[in-house]
Amino acid sequence: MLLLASPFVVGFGLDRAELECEQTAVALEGCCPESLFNARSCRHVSGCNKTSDQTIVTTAESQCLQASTCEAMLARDVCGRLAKRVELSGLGGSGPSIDELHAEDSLCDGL
Amino acid sequence: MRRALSGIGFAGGLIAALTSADEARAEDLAAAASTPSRDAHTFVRASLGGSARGLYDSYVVGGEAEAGLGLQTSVGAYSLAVSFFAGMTEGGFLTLHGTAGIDMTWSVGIVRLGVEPRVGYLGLARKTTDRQFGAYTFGAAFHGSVDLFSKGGTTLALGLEPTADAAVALGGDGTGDDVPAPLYGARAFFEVRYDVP
Repeated sequence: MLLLASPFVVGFGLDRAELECEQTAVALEGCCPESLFNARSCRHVSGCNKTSDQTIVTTAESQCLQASTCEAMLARDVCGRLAKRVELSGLGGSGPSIDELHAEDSLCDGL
Repeated sequence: MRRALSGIGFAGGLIAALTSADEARAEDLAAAASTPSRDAHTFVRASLGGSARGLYDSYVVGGEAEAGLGLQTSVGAYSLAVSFFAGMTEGGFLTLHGTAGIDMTWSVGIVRLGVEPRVGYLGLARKTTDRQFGAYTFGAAFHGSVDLFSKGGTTLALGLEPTADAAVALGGDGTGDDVPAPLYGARAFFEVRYDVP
């Protein structure tokens, strides 16, 4: 019974892009400002209709950022570009879609 | 007359000998019945060990405890088992995995081999929100152990247990892929078994 009730108590869902995004948030600690990611950054925003990673960083970006050094990311202003992406993604319908943000500025370029 | 008395004495001795043999046999059976290695008896077991799991490209390392209650028969041991794993991912996220299953074990001398189909729930903490990742798991644990010591119904054993599960976000909240994720793992454990008298 506890097993059945647990999803409603502690949450539900397991997604690779979201997990990679969370790992990236940890990897950027000490390199980028702490408040860079918000509570929505690593959650898919378009639900089950999504056809691509809807997290603030894609799975591919997460993997390359986690493998990069802080120096390399600072040299490419990854923190600033990511902060801009987070800001624009918060505009909702009046701003660009998350897919457009991913396509507009790939964080792994040059890393 | 002397011959008749002698015959009666022989018969009495024979009866006494037979009675004594029956008593001895009965005592042997009673002793066998109370011996821990007798067939079809209840047993309990508990184990503790280090465990690692792989989820996507991440590793989760931690400790795992398991307990079981079941029946040891001449053709194998069958028990209900529950296990609880607690560990951390590479990124430092607390990961909990609880399972329940039916364990089937067969002995070959001091070696025991078994399989446990099981269901469970996996919970993973996140950094950006308090809402955890969560998924039901369906899979099996395969274990092999060697008995190191056995006395008075208590047995100590060491073993290894590879595990394979699928983490499934059944009825997800629309924010995930809902695609089963493979969850592989292995556990090295120390086990104590006790045959209930």
